[in-house]
Amino acid sequence: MRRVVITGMGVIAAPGVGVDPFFRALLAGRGAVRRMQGIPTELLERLNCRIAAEVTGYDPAQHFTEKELDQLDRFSQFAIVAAREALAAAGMERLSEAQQPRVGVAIGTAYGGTQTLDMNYYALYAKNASRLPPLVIPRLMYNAATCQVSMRWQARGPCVSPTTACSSSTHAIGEAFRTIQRGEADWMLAGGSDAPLTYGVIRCWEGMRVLAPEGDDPTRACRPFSRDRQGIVIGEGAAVFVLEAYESALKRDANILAEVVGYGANSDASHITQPSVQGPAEAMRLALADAKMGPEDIGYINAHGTATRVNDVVETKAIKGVFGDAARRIPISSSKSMHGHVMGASGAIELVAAIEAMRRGVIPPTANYTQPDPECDLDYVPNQPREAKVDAVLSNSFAFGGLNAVLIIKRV
Amino acid sequence: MGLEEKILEAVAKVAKRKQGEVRLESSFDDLGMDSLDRVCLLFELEQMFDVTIPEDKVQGVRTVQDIVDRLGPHLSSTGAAPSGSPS
Repeated sequence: MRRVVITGMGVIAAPGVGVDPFFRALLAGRGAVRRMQGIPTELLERLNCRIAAEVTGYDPAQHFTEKELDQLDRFSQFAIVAAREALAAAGMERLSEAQQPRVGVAIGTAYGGTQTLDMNYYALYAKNASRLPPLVIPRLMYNAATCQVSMRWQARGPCVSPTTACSSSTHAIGEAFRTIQRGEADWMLAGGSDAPLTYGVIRCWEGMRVLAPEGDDPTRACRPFSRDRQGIVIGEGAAVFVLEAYESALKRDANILAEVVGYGANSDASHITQPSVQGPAEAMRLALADAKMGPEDIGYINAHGTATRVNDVVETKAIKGVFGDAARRIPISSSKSMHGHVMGASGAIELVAAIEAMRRGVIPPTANYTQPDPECDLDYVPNQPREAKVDAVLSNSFAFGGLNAVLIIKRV
Repeated sequence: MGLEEKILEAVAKVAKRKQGEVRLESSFDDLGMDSLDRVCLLFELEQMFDVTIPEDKVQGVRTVQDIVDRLGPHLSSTGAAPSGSPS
């Protein structure tokens, strides 16, 4: 099996657009959660939950022509913005004709073009529109981001759009890793994108009763692993990586950011929302076995850490089950405390944090941590970033439906 | 605004051109309009005139003038077309 490395990455999320501003914002330990600005006021007022980790300071017109925007839902825009940064970092702004058939795309998403769908169903149901525009379908389809990235850079290799709720982008990266290992591609543009901040989607989530209330300070609403945690804050954004065969990166003299060494994927096969302890634990074991690593090799765990009552306890138990005594020694943090739960894009966005933690030797904190929970009794790097030499990171994603995906990266 | 002007306006909107850049003799190929753009044009015209345009009315159209010729009677007969009315 071939070795696979990461030679470029890009991110757009509420804390920042671009890897450097994004990661610096995480180190500042401040949540990027605020009142939503993208939902019309008259609809926003009807919501109980009015906060989200919304991308601000992003002007689509600065990135795309009017004609391009006709075809691009916000989630596809995000994917392209992130892919562009990743390709530039990898020194691959343009793909040569020889490269094109050897480059694939795997952009995971939980919601696809849901803003396009929401807007057009609103016109249809509420405004009795007699017809809808032809571009609704090409904008809303779940594979739109993958296709748009493929077309823009002429990536003509294997292209897929994993959609496994909150594990989508972790599955995308993991499957892309396998694709290169097997020799079916030399490069994969892999990651995830979601732009789920619509009136309809937020209303649906309100129905589940897992959203954090606004409180006095929205930036403090998301408190993973803290005893007073109160639920999810939804976010939007994307992250895309250039995964590359190791020998190709060497040949190009590319800047290698990290090596992907382990991927574990499985299913709880138990409950549509309630996670099991065994499933996530087994997924972590699979990833460790894939990486040929033991618990002592992992220097940092980027947790799924959604800040729901259940997830954080289950994840803590699963980590303890897998890592045993080492669990108490390994720093664990949930960057969702700051960039929110970006649904299908979460795993990819968190992998940016994981890679930068390793590269810069500083672990982003779990923000908004106020008090220990007896059931969550590990080291969650509360509130302050921590300097640490990290050689390998394990990153967890656990989706509704019990679909677990775990990645391990290491320093090269 | 007459029928021709309305159609030119719809074409310009879909092709993302300034209105003066689109002429009756302009071909859709010249305007860089692919098959999806042509479907978008039908949507614009349907919205503009509040009519349903059957597919067979526009098969094989090549230029803006073709649209005017093919759809003129259809759009006029619906009573919705502002054809000939002073702009």
